[in-house]
Order: sequence, then C-alpha cells, then structure tokens
Amino acid sequence: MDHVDSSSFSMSDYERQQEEIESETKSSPIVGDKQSIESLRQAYNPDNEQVQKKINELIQNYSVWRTVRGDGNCFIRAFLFSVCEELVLKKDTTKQKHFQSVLKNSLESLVNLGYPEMLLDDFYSVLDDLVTEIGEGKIKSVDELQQRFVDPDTKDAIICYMRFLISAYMQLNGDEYIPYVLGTTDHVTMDSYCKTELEGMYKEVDNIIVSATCAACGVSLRLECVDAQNRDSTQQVQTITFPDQSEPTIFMLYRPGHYDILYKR
Amino acid sequence: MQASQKLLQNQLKTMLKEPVEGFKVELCDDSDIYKWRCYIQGPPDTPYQGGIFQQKWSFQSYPFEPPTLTFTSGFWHPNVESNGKVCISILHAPGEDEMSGERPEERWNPTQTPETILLSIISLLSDPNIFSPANVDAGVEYRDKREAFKVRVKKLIEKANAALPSDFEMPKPKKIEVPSTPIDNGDYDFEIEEDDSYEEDVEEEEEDDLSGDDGEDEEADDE
Repeated sequence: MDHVDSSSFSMSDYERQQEEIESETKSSPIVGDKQSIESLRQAYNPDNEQVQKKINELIQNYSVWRTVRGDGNCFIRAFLFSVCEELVLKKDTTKQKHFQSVLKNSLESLVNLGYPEMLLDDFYSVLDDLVTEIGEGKIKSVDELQQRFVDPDTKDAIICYMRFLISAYMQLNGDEYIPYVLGTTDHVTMDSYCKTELEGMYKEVDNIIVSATCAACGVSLRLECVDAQNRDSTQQVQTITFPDQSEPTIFMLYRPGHYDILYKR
Repeated sequence: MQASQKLLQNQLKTMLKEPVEGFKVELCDDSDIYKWRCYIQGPPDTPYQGGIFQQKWSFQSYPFEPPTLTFTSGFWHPNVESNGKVCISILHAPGEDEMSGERPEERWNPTQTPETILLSIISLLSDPNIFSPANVDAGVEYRDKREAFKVRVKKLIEKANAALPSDFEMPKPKKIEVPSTPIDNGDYDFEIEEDDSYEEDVEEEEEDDLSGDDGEDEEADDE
C-alpha cells in the first residue's frame, strides 16, 4: 500500500480499500489451525515459477504451517505462540521457569525505567498466568493453548506485554541496537524508537525488533523468507537465524510484511 | 468481568477521587463503563476561557486502542473536526496518519490514561497546532483573523454553558502541587520586597531546595 502513488487515488477509493483490507484481516483467524504446506501454493499464481520453486524448497524441510492474523502483531503473536507451544509439548520445567523469570525481570526493568507499574501489571499478570497454567499442566494441549490465544481477555494483553518486554530489553541494551536504529530509521534515540515502532499495538516490527525479541527471551528462531525475487544462489529461500549460528527451536515463514509459523519435518 | 472494564473502573475511581483541575468526568450511563462524559473548563488566557464544554469519550478497545473524544456542543478549533471529533496525536495509533506532522513519540500506547489525555486537551486548547488542522477553516481563521475567531468561540461558550445541567459544579482538586507563595520557615530570607518576577522566585526556591543541608554556606554568605 505504501508504494502506491497516492495522487492517482481519491480519498474515498483509499478509504474503501482500507476498509476492505481491515475486514479481510478481521475475518482471518488470530491463530489458525495447522495445515499442510501445500496449501501455501494456493496463495500464489501457479505460473509464478519463482515462488513455486521456493515452495518446493520449503516442502523439503517443513510439512506443516500455521497462519497468524496479519494485523501488525503477527510476528510477536507467532513468536509467543511458538514459545508457549514448545512449553506445552515438551513439558520442560526448566524452560518454563526461565521464561517466567524473563517475564518477571522485565516487569522490574520497566518499573525502573519509569513505566507505570499499576498499568503494566494488568498485562503482565495475564501472560504470567498463562505460562503458570502451562507449567501446572492446566493447559494440556496445543488446542487449549490456541483457545487461550484467541480469548478476548487474553489475546491483546499478552501481545501488549511482549511489546513492553522487548522495549525494556532494547532500552537496557541500547548500545547494541542504537547503531541499527540510527542506520535504518529516522529515530535518534532508543526511547523514541521503542515508543513509536514497538510499544503501540498493531505496529509491524522490523528486523531489529525480531533480533531483540529472540535475545530478550533467550530463544533461537529461524526465518524462511519467501518472496518473488530471484536469488543469485542455488538455494532460493533465504534463511536467517537469530541469533546468528545458533540452533533454532522455532521456525517462521516470512513473506514481505507478514510472519506465519512453520513446523519442521 | 472483562479486564478492560476493571481497568476503566479503577481509572474512573482515581479521577473521581483526585480530579484534575478544570475537568470533571462521569459516566454517560451508569451501566456502561465504556462511555464517559467529560466537562472541560476553557483554560485561562485562551479564547475558551469562561466556557465549560462537554465531550463524549468512547473507549471501545481501550487500552489497546485510543478512545475517541467528541465535543457534544458546537466547537471551533483547528484540531477539532466540524463534527466535534478531537484530533490530537496521542489519540492516534503509531503509524496512522503519517503525513500529519505530529511527533511520533506522542502517539497512543497502552500505558496512556484518561489523565494523560486530559493534559493533552489542556495543551490542545492553549496551543492549537495550525500546521496539521483537522478543521482547515478554523485553522486559517485562528492564524489570520484571531479577533473573528474569538468572537465565534464566544458564541459557542454561551451555547455550551447554557447546555450545562442546572446543578453542575466543577470539582475542586484536593492536591495543590505548587504553593502560590514560598513558605517562610525562618531558615532563609527571601528578598521578596523587590517584587521579583515569579519565575525568578521559583528559580531561587529550586536552588535552595537543591542545596539542601548546605544551608551553612548561604548563611556564611549572608554574613
């Protein structure tokens, strides 16, 4: 949308299009069901050789994917769902305790940074309760987890808290991130970057935030990037791992502007 | 009960207990926590002085999305649409309306509260942003024909005041943050007889506060 020449548009065309996009977005599930990766093909023109080639490549490593609503929260929602899904499936108490301590420490950091504890605590406790329930075996299956992720009392609060958690991490590790912020955005301080690009809901995240999210939670993520571009390489799907060289535990499909969850064969 | 209902109820309670000077908030209908009515006293030294204006606040997806604020009687201001809808930056999500020239750090995020909104309204009424007007006619008149602007607002003040409930009363804020005169506790001599400007008094006060226990130095100077 951003690249369309706005001068050729009347305002009502623009508004109508915005409404169409909005209603389309709202009709897609917040966290969808698992489905065969073959269904990804249907989203593309069968004559688009470039993309079909990339999907063939993906199929060698992944059999199943799960869609996440493209409302600007997709990366954070896909990330958090994958992290929780692993906790539900592997019942790894150490990992569950670690994630819970990440949450707790971030709340302390936010308060030290001057954020209002009373307000943040409402979001924090929703996410902390969710992780506690996973640990106590109250959320037993991935289906139950999916239910919680679409529950009206949970769905926004957990994403909102993740945004503040990542913000606190980036501000406390500003030295590491500020060169990228200065180099790729118009922001000159971490504070203004985090407030504008991260803390508001429905704001799409960039690669700097993707990297910081993995670092903040101690999670390794692999992104498989599928776009229409021809790459000058035998491998057509570009693969990025955060942190670099680590052994990934969660996997995502990246198509320009959108993230979905992938499952390894 | 939904989390947002609980949050709004707490915030309403806080605002009723510690009202912000020049504002009164209440529910439009006691059974609906998502709809507030707000009375706003026109700030002194602005065209709105002398009027008490009513707004409807609608908190649909609070706190994840900003509420909408609408003046219910006619209003004339560069940043208020002709239908009364208030357009200020903290009521916009980041990324929305990129061309408006609003500074990005003032955008909505879920830690904003009714109180921070009120502070933005004070600044809206005192200092209209004529660079990104929601009501272009009002923006141009404010810039070029200030007297005509004031006359028009004056009529709206009469209309707004006439629409107030007959038993309406502005709450008195309980907290007074800045004492109007320095408290003389006998430790320092304030040279107020020379009628320094208020700002200088404040500066002097701050210096004294900062020096804290080092009062001895100053006493030595005085001697």
